Amino acid sequence: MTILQLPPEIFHNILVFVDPEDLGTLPLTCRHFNDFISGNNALCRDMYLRYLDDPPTTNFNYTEELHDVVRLAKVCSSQQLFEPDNARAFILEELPFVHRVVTHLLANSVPPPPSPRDPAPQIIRTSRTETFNPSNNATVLNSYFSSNYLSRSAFFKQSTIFARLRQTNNVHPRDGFVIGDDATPPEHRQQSAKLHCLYGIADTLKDITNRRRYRYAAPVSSPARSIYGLACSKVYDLREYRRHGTAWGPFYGGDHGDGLGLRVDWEKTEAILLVIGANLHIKGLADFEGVENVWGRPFAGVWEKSYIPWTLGRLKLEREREEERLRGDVDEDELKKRQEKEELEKQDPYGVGGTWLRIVCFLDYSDFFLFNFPPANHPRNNAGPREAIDRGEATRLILMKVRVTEVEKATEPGDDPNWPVVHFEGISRALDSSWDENADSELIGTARMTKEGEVRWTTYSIYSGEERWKSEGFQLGGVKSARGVIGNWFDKDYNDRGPCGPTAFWKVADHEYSGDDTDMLLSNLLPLSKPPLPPSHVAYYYPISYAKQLSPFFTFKPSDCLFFASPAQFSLNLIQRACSYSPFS
Amino acid sequence: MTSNATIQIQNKLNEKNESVSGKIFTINRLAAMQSGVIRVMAQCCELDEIKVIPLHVAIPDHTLGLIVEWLDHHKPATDSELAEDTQSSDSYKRVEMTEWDQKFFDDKVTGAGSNDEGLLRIIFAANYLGIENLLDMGVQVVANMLKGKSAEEIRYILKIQNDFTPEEEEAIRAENNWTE
Repeated sequence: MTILQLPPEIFHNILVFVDPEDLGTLPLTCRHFNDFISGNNALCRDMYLRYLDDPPTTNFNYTEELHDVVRLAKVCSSQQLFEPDNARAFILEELPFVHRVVTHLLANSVPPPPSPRDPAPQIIRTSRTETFNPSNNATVLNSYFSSNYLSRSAFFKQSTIFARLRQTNNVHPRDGFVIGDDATPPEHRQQSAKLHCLYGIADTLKDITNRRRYRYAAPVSSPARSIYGLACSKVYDLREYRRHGTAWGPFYGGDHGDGLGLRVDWEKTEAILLVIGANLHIKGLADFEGVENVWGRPFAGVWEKSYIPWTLGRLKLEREREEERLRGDVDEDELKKRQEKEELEKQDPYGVGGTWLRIVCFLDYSDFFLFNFPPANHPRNNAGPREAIDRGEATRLILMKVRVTEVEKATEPGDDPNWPVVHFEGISRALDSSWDENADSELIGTARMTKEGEVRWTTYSIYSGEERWKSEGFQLGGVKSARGVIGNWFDKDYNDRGPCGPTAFWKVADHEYSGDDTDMLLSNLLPLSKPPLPPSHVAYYYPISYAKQLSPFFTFKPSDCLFFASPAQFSLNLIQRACSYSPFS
Repeated sequence: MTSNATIQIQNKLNEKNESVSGKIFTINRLAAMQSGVIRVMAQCCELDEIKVIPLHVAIPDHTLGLIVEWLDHHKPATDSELAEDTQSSDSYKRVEMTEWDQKFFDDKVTGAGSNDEGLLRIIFAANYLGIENLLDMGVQVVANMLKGKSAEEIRYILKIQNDFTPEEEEAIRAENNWTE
């Protein structure tokens, strides 16, 4: 008896369990194998589904897709990345391929049900801060990059700021031939920056801070020579905003006259992510669960509909309404308003309504002004990129609550006419100020689909009835991605003297929270829910050592009062300290 | 029926082949029920009050003995556990192989005194008897033997002949260069 006598379905089963790359050698053994394997899309399909997501489309060539994934693995671990003479040419040749396969796999990502044994009809969060489940595709992609420093450098660090880094520093010899240089063509830079944005910047910042040999890029020890300093010089450069066709956001092409409207400028987006990511790190906010979930993980929900709604609060609300109804205690006007609101939310394809965490970074205005408008005798080339910034920034963590006010047809030439424009309003609260009603600002804005297929978000902050700041950004990963929106903020009148800076917001919960609910929400998002030593029923006590362990950046005096009314109060106090801390002062 | 109940199965008799002798195997009822074929036949036999279940495909006694051993080891504790174990699924999920399973395949199926043919016989019989988990394990063992091997190595392992002309081989090599 030989293997050739087995029934075809068993032979099929055996082949499903070999590795995808073996499908390249097995046909060479004999006729029978070749006849069975070549062109066998069903075999490739079963093999693909064994470790990748069932794609949301029916028209799918499993054979080609499987071949691409195998090839991606080979490219990422290629020996050529180690060879100084070949690495540059190899990277430039393979970058478009890596870009195509990575974006394709992310686009075909589907979040898995929480447990294979219990495929619940509705996907729920595994914990309250986990706003997405890692997809199989993201997990496989992650395996090619997260443990492979060289493949990350090769394909994620080819943008202009890395070319500048290479130019201005004694870059580690191994990096020297892997990170970008001036000869990298612009489209390759965009592709590489996009891959870097999708993968996330946490590992880049870790490469930077953890090891001595990556000192050249450390944000704290020498900002002027670091990738962080170079990213700042791009993000705070007013000329980047005032350039035509950008809408002052991370875009380009609005003035190309080809009717395609704004397209995402990935190099700008990469710089924004690096600046915000470094600030979260420096200020000790990066480890807070609600922040780490989207800023600290590779491929963090960067695909469509990765956001998992938080339905727990909604159930409670529905129960209360039901009770109200049974008591006959219903205000007709109230009911009508509520129904209208729910109707609007149903029409909104972007998932606007809910509670969002937002981060805004800014330079002290005098630093900002000096950087953009230096004195006449300043030695600088006005056409080229600005010098790295070493001044340090301020950071604000903000809670945004928004709801849909209107859904209308696409209005601008750059909009995709098949998608609506959703208007929203709400409030934003700075978590780091005194937590009083005066700290509130109101907020209005829109979400719309560009012709390129990105969700574009515009917001205005309103203080005492007057618009002051505007922001423009796009949702990284697409419609309803858990990764949220990345963009720029600036003066609503486009003041050509600034100020401006980077901002980002990501959704944390679905219904609007108020009063006690907000405290509850915060204690869920922030790390301290169980105090170690509650001495009484009215106060929670936190030993200084515990606080120090949470963030080595904070300085606590022994006289510091560490009794707080609630865990949320303690978290807020930590944030307050974190945000007022500057490593450069 | 208690979990200690046993049933008997009789191998098919083949007078031309000594290794297929019509031997009768006694096996715990729940253990035997892991086989889809025996499940169905046991129900029929109960109706007709037949004491010994006859198999209709000749399986070498040695192989059938190994299968009985495997079934005994994987005996479900209760009927409900049996139902859970034999639930069919469409997706290809790797079955967890315990140390015992590994040893079973290494020492008894492919190891000393037997060979790869023994493994193929187990797969063939598991397929006929409808023992999904055993079939999956056998399939994985074969797949593991093929992983990462060159065409020559695979031919040697599976004892198959290279029946290509050199031109054909070159053409197929060119078609499959996507892994390089």
